[in-house]
Amino acid sequence: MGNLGHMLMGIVTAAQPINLLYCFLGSFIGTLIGVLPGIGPVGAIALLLPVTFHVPPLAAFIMFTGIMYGAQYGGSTTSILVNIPGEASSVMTCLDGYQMARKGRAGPALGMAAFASFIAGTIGLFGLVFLAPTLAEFGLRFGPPEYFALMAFGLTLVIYLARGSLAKALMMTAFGLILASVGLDPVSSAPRFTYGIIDLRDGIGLAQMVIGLFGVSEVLLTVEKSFTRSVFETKIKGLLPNLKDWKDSFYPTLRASVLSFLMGIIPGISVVIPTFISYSLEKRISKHPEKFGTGTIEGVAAPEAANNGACVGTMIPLLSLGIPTGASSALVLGALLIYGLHPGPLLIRESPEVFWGVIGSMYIGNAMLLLLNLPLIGIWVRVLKIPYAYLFSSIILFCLVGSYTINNSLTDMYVMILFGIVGYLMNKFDYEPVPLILALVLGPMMENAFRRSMILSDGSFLIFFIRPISGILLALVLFMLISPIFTKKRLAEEIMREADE
Amino acid sequence: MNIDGGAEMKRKFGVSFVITLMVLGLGSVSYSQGKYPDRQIQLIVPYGPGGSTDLCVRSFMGEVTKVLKQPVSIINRPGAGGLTGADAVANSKPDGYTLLATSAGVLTWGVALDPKSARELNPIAIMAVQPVMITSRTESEYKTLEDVINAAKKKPGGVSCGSSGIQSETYLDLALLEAATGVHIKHVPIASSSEGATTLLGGHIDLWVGSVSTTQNLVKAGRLRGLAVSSPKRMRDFPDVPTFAERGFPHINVNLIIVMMGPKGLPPVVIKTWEDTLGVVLARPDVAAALDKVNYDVDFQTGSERLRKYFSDEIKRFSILAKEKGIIK
Repeated sequence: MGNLGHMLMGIVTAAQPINLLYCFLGSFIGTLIGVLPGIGPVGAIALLLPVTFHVPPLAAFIMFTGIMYGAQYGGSTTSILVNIPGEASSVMTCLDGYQMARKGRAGPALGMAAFASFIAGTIGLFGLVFLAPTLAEFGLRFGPPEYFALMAFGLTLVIYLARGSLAKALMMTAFGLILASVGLDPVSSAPRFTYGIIDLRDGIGLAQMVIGLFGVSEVLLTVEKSFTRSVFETKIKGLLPNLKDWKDSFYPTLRASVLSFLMGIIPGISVVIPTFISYSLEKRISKHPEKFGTGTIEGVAAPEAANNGACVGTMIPLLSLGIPTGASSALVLGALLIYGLHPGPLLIRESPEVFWGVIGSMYIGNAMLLLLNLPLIGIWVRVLKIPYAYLFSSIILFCLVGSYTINNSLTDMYVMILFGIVGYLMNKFDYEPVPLILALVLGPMMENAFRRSMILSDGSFLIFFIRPISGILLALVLFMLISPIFTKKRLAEEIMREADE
Repeated sequence: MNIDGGAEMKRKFGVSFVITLMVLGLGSVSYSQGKYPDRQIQLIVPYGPGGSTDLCVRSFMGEVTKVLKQPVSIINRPGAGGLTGADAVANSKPDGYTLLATSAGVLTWGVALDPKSARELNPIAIMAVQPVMITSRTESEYKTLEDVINAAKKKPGGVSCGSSGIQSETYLDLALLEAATGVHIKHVPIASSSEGATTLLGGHIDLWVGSVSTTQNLVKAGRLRGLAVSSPKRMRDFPDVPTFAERGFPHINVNLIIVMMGPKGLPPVVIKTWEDTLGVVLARPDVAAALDKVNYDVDFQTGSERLRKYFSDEIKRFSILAKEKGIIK
C-alpha cells in the first residue's frame, strides 16, 4: 500500500467519532488561546496533559493538533480585528488584515485567512507524506554558515518590506539588532545590556514587544483621535471572500504554502520567518506593491498560508528524525513521549498505524479548524461593532494579562507597556515597526550562526563562500543589495519621497 | 446615566464597596495552623512548559497530589537559566506552600560560574536523574571515546563538540574530559539541544554532549553512536555505551539532577512530609514507568544537610574546574 493509501487509512482512523470530538474541543480551546494575546498553545497543552492521561493516545494527540492550529488561527483573528498579533507569526497578517477590517472587509480577511491556512496545511501534509525522508535530509545540510546566509538574506528583504523611507526602515532594522543583542552572549554567556536585571538575561521577548508595538500603540493612536472609529462602522461588506479575492490570492497562497513548507523543514527556522519572507516575496512580485499595507487580500493570504505551511514543515524533522525544531514540534514531541510513542526513524517502522494516525489527525485538525471558524466569522465581525469606548479598555486588559501570562512575569508586562509607547511614538514620527521586528527575530539567529561558523572555521570568513548553499545564498544577498542601488526606479522613488517631505 | 442618584446611589455604592472588600479580604484570612498541607501548594518549575524538567515533574506530581490530598500546582517561571524561578522561591515565605523543582545545575555550576547567583535554598530531596551522553555520527571516524581523545591529542582543536553552552551543566562532562586528558576539544555552543542534534547529524560538528533524551532516538535508530555516558552504571536502554567510569574517568559523572528545594527556614514538618510522600510515590513502578517515558530515572535521595553538603562540594569542584579552564578568574 503506497503512502497515499496509508495516509487515507490514517485519516479514516483519525476520523472516528471520539477523535473528532476531541479535535473539536482542541480547536475550540486553541482558538480561544490564540485570541488571547500572550498565552500560547504550549502552556495550554502543558496544563491539559494530566487530563489526557485517561484518554486514548490518538484522541489526545488530535486534541493537541487542534489546539495548535486553533491557536494559530485565533492569533490571526485578533490580528485582523484589533491589530494585536496573538502569536509572533501573526504579525504580518496585521499589516493588511487590520486595514481590511478598517474598510469593513474583516469578514473576507478572516475567511481568506482560514482558507489559506487550510490550503497550506493540506499542501504541507501531502509534502510531508510523500517527501518527508528526502526533505529531512536536505534540512540537515543547513549548518551554521548556511543559517547565517539565510538570515542575512532575510534581513535584506527589509528593502522590499519598507513602505516609506528606506533610511528610516534601515534605522529601525539597526535598532532591532541592538535590541536583539540584549541578553547573554551566546558564546561566553556574559550579560549584555542587562543592567543587573536578571529578567533581561533572556533578552527582550518578541511576543511582549509585538503586543505592545502593535496592539497597545494602535489603541493609543485611535483613542487620541476620538473614542469612536467611524471608519469601522461602515457597513460590513459581505462575510466571505468574493471571487476577485480568490483570484488575487490564489497564486500567492500556493507560493507561500510551498515556500514556507520548505523553509519550515530547516531546523530552527520557526514559523515567524516564513511569514516575513512570503509577504515580502508577494510584495516584490506584485503588480501593485504600493497597495501592500493598505488592505490587500493577498497580504493576508500569503502570511496565513505561510504560518500554517511552515508549521507542517516543522513536523518533518520531528517525525522522520525525532528532533523537535520549534515550540510546536517540541510540544508534539512531548505529547507523543507521554503516550509512549517515540517519533524518529523507528516510529514509522515499529508502529506505522500510529504514525499514519498522527498524520491523519493533523489533517483532521486542519479541516476542523476551517469548519469551526467559518461560521464564527459573523460573530467575530460583530465584535467590531462594539462601541470603541468599551472595546479599547478590554483590548488593553487583554494585552496586559496576555503579556504577563507568557512567563508569569511582571517584567514582560512592563516591556509590553514600554513598547506600546514606543510604537505610538514611532508611528507619530513615521517609523515602521516591521523592520524592527524582522531584525529582532533574525538578529539573534544570525549572530549565533555567525559566531558558531567562526568557531568552526577558526576565524576564517571563507567558510561562508566555499560551502555551496551558503555561497549561493550570500551571492543572492549581494545581488539584492546592489541591484536596488542601481535601479533607477528605486532611486527615483527616493527622490520623489524626499521632495514630498 | 442619572448622575444625580443622590443618597440611594451612594448607599448602593457603599454596600458593594464593602462587599468587595470583604470578598477580597477573605483571600487573606490567615490560614489555620493545621496539618501540613492544608491548602494548595505552589511548585515552581523555573523552566518553560514542555521542557525536560517540566515534563519530568509533571509526569508524577499528579500522584503526589493524591497522596498529600492537597493540590500541587505546577507553575512555570522561566528565565535567566532557572534563576528567575529560584529567586521567586528563595524570597518567599518558608511555610512550605511555595517550593522549587529545578535542575541542580543552576545551583551548582551556575554558582561556580557566578557566586552572586547563589540563593538561600534548602534542598528537600533529589527526585530523578538523567545521564549525559557524548555522541558522534555512526559513520564518522569517532567510534570510541579513545578515538576522540587520540584525535584531539594529535590535532588540538581539530575535533569539535557541541553543547548547550558553557553555562549548561552538560558542558561540564566535556570540560571534565578535557581536564582529565589534557586535550583541547573545540567547543561549539548551540543553545537548543535539538538544533545541536541536527547540526551533528548534518556533519557540521563532530560530537555532541548533552542529555540522553535529545539523542536517544537517533542512537537507537543507528544514526548516532553513543561514545560514553555519565551514569554510574551502563544504561538499560543502551547496553553498548560504556560509562565514563569504565573508561577510567569516574569523576566525569555530571548528570541532570531534578531536586526539590524550599526557601531557607522551612519547618521540619514540611521537609519530613515531602520526604515521606516522595518516598512512597517514587517507589512505585508505575511512577518509574511514567518517568522513564520522559527519559528520567528515579533517584530518590533525602537528607537536607547531606544534600546541602553535596551541592556545596560540587560547587567547590566546579569552581576549581572553571578557574583551570579560564572561564572565571
